[in-house]
Amino acid sequence: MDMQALLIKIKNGEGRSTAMLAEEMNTTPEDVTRTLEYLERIGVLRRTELGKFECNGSCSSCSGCSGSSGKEKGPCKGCIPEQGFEHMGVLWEVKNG
Amino acid sequence: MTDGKKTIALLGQPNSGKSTLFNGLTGMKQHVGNWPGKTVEQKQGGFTHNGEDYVVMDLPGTYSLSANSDEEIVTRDYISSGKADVVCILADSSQLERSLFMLSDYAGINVPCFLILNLADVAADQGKTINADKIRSKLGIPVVLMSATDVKKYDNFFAALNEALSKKTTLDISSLEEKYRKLDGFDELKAEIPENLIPGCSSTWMAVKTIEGDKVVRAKIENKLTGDSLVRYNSHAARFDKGALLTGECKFSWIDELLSDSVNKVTQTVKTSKLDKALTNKTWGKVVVVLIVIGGLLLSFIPAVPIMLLGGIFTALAVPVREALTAANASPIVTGIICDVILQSLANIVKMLGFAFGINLVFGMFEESGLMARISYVFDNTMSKMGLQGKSIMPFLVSFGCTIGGASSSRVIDNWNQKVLTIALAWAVPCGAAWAIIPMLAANFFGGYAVLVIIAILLVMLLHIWITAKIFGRKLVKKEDRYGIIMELPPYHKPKWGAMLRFVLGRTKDMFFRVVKVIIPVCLLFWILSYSGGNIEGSLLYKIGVAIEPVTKVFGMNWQLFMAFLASSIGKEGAVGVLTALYSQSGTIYGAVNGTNAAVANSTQLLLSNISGPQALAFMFAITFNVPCVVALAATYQETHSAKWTAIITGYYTLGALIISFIVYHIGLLIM
Ligand SMILES: Nc1nc2c(ncn2[C@@H]2O[C@H](COP(=O)(O)OP(=O)(O)OP(=O)(O)O)[C@@H](O)[C@H]2O)c(=O)[nH]1
Ligand SMILES: [Mg+2]
Repeated sequence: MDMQALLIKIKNGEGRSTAMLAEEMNTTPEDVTRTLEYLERIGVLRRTELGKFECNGSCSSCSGCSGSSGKEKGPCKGCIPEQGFEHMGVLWEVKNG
Repeated sequence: MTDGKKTIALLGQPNSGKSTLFNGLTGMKQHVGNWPGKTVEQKQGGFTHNGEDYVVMDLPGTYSLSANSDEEIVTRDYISSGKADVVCILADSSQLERSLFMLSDYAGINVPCFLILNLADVAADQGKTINADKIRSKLGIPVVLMSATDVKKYDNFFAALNEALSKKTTLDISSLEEKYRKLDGFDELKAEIPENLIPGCSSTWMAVKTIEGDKVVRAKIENKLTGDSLVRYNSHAARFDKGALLTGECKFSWIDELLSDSVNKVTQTVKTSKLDKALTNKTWGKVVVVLIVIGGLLLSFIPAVPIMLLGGIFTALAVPVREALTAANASPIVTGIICDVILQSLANIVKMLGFAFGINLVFGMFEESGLMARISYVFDNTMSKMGLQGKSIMPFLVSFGCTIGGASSSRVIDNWNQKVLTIALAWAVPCGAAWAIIPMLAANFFGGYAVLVIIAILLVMLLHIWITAKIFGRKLVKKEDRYGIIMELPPYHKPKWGAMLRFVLGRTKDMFFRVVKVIIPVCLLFWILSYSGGNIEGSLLYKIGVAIEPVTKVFGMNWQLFMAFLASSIGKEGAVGVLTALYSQSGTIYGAVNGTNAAVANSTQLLLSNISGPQALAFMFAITFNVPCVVALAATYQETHSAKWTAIITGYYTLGALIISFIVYHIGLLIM
């Protein structure tokens, strides 16, 4: 796949799914996935797992939030379901510069 | 080589099965696991086969042989050092197009090697047939299709090992090199690098690493080159910008050609589901998402209604309790505190929990099933247009539960301006407390029409975010900062009901205690402040209230509602406490002004008979879009480190809430 063309496509700001991208680039989703992975390795893209997020515990005082006490790090149980947002998927963003 | 023993190095991406093979060969118990990076340091072991002693090195799993991490550098240094007699490259047969990347990166290293297509059983399960001989004929090295887990069937492995050792088989890279040579300037660059300048490495390999901007390889080459050739090397190298994109394309297309006629896949056409098609549709996606969210809100009422009805029991209970207390000659203060403060507060709290429970359940289900990812995907698109990073979606989602959590979770956003914008927008998302209070009030005032109020709030939220993004975005985010994003949507899942119910119940219970701690004290305080014992002129609260009412009326709120609005900036639950107190029946300002009306049985009815529909509506919007709470304000300051922006956002939301209230009141007057 033409990686430059792929990057230009991504950079224009339109959000898209890997499946859509595969269709646009006339290739397979596997090809898109491995290319994204490669681009991440060489530092062009940044990958974020959406569900993974650290709460610093300052939300412990909100209603409906059991808060994570200072000791235990990790997501606050009240703000995020026990298993976290597990099914939020993965996001790639083009790094600036 | 170690004491005449042959040394085999196992090389492959994480999870390609190196440790499994290592254990199978040596009978050792090297830790095996299916998460990447299990083997962190290289482990050494030995085995004997047909009377020959061998040493095996289990190398750490690395993605490639580039200089992206220390482990990769250590691994390739080990290989090019010549300490291994043969390198056994492992690839995962179930995803060859991806895992053969290691092989393509190895191409050009002159150490003898052979290829293991491991996890053959998994590939077979996927319906793939792999022709190892065809791959072998293209690569010129032994290729074995096998399962490292099947220890009894290592015969082919040993045969390949022997062949690789005896014939010193090296990878045929001519077809890959042909691709590299099409890159502008490759030949010139390669010509400047003598073979084996770095021991064990061909000039092609070194040229490729130079193009990729591999600093370690470049430094080594620059060290050894002198005079004109160094100058020429550097000038050729400088011609490549983002060279890794170019070489990466070459490697991947080489892999594809390698596999094109040697792997047969039962093509199971992965059909995009109808729902996904609708969601990712450019024009209709957002509409579908909004409809789904509205549907979710409506669904939330189903489990909510019984709980809300339960709350009504406390209200009903107040009547007999009051009678009993009066009959027992209890002091009016005690009666008031029990009936007006405690029972009425509890009634409101239980009603609040109803919807909070419902919404947590429904949206928890959305998340579990993978629907939430799709919803956020549609908004990611919009958010990147507003200049936000895709990561901003999480602060928004968390804000539906709690704005404080939302503000803290914006920590992951590294660009300060985008972080401030994210927080500023997340404030517009009604938090868990709002989603509890508003349905409770709406159900009290409008019965079944509460549903419409909820939907209207959701739509106003979208509008609010859009306007706020326009106002704040212009100042905070420049066009160059905008991001492109791609999302990998997770497959749909069946929700795990048990775990979810437990979570939702736990969360509802937490909320109950938290809310009780706020509402009852606030209610008591205002009840005492407004307790006049008949002499309203002496009540400071009343004086202030009457004095400000001409102004508050502009926004559609009488002074009682306005005080509740003010209390909501400290915490939304506070508003409920204030209202409950100010509209309680006995001995208070209300009672003194209006006399105790026997026809009105409880303060819920008092509310209804004294606040008009448009007023109630205005109030609900005002508290929803008000400053979320003081702690959220503190969290905002903590994350932004800017008193200025915290103040700007606070002022903006206070003003915004009043403007919304004004508009809603006047719309309310028109439609009610
Ligand atoms: N079904 C099947 N599973 C295998 C096979 N080979 C390895 N596995 C499994 O794949 C997972 C990863 O295997 P490891 O041997 O730990 O992989 P590794 O290459 O050492 O991984 P790192 O140490 O992280 O680089 C383990 O769960 C193994 O049980 C195979 O041939 N068939
Ligand atoms: Mg391992």
